[in-house]
Amino acid sequence: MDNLRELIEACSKNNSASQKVLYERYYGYALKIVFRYVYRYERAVDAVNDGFVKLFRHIDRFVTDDYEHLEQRFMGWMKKIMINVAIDELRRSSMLVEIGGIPEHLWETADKTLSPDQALLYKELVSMVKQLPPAYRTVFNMVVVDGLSHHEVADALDISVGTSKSNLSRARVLLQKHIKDLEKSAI
Amino acid sequence: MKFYDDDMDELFRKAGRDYPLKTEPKNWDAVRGALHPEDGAAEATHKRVGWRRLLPLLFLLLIPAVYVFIDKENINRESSALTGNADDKNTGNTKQSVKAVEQPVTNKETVNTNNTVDRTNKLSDREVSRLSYVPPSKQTLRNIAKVEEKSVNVKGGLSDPPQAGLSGIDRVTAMGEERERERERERERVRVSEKVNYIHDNEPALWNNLPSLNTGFNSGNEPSDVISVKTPGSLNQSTGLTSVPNSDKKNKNRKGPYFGVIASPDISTIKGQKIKGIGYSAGAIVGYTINNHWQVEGGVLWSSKKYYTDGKYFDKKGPGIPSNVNVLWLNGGCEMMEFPVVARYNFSQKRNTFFGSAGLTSYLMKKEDYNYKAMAGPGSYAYDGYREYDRSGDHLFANLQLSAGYNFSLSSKLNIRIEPYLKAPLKKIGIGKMPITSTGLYLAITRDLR
Repeated sequence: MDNLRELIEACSKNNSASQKVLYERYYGYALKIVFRYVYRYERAVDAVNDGFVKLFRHIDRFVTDDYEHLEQRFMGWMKKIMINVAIDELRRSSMLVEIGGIPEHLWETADKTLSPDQALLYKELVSMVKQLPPAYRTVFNMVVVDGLSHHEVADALDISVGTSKSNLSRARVLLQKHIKDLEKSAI
Repeated sequence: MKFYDDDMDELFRKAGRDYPLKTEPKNWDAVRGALHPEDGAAEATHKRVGWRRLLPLLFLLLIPAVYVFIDKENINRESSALTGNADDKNTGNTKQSVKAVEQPVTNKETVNTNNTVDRTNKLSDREVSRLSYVPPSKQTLRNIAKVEEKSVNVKGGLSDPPQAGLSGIDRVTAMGEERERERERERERVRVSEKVNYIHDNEPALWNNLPSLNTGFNSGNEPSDVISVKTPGSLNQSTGLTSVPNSDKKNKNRKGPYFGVIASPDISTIKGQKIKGIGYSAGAIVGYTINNHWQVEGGVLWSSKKYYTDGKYFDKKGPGIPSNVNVLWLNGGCEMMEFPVVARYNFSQKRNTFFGSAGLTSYLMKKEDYNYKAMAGPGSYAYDGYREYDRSGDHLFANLQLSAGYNFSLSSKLNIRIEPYLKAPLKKIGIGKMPITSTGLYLAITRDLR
């Protein structure tokens, strides 16, 4: 991953061309994180851009010594930044429930890495998560999808660990109900 | 929890990582603009250059205003000094008064002897020295010479030739004195001609207070024993000085800078569609009165506009809305800095007057937000969208501003005006490139700086 290391080092010197390369390489990854949290696509896009600005401004803090797991570590670091900007975006809208569906054109239908069934399933699952109330959705995403502990969630959201666990539990109940409905409609 | 277990968690984890989401279009320019404000996004930079072009224009507008303001201060000070003197001395005869204008400053003995008034003594050395030297006319020199001759006769009783009846040391001394007098005369000629020239230069600023120079100056009809500067036809021959008639005061040139505050409600529409709300404009203006009819004016205003449009007038490329999405309608709002530059014509020379103005308005867009209803494609459902942009663009000379109104004079320097206006689009503005037409009613209070 020398290439990534060079890119990161160039970015820490505020090199615009390297920043662009890095942005284009990881934009999709970042958007997929943020869009799970932020309901509206255009707001998610704006939040991702904010996240990249923060990332580039603090990239000199990222240590590139561990060559072997550099990308993994870099993506983990990026994920934390993107989760934080997503939470900021949700706070900006006061965690209000948003109505309206997710436009079809936002889904990538020609993704070769997934079978059509898988693509459909993943799309349905993410839609289900997005339709959860923001407080449940956030905890579910942080704990189940992004693998954070309840303590980390409680710190990030400024809630108690008990609230975090409770929200996760309620999110699961709601998802369970959605899945049940989905199974019924499939039959 | 029958339907939900750890396998489901794993499934959600995979779905969250690999779900099929379109990740285009990317907006690198927005990120680069934030990271590198010095070069910014290409488009933003280009537009900012436009504003840099405008700044010197505004600066140029201020330079003459400031210069004239400072210059007026000096002239007014001089003029008021002269007025005070004239009021005290206007009982003398014409010859005395006129003589006074060209009386040499240094020849105090002569002044006292002839019992004349030296009004030009009011001019400070600095003011005299900054005036350029213009050779005196032959007539002036002739008259100066006569005055000198007379004054010399009064003072020393010397007569030409000075050497007559003298010899030896007395003759040498007399010759030396004569040379000294010659030099002094030359210096006085210069001073007198400078002062005459000064009065010429400052017409009509001094016109109201001083008998002015007219064609009679060169007519050769002056009495031979005085330095004569004839006054205008209006000059009262018995008093030597006259006040300016009232009719002249009415037509007094109001040339000079002014400034003020301005505010208006803002009603905006796109292609005459329905009006969604009322915004506002408020700010400061600075202008310059060129003459009794014409004024130029610039300003800086903060404006808030609200508008509605059918989707067909909204350009989807700017905000990056995919082409297959059909925007049905849109409610927009924007906040911007507005820079109008207008020329104004007053229909009457009086201070209370109707006027008309025309000019161009430029915008510096600070914030835009849109609520819109869109449909992804045929058979799809409509959904609501919301977008918000900061610093989304600058628009140089985007609107043509036409207005007409009435100016009330509250005092000699304070004015209030009401001015209905129309701003017609010359360019499409905002991220959605919309032709916004605005109207409103400006209310402005201005103060003259002259």
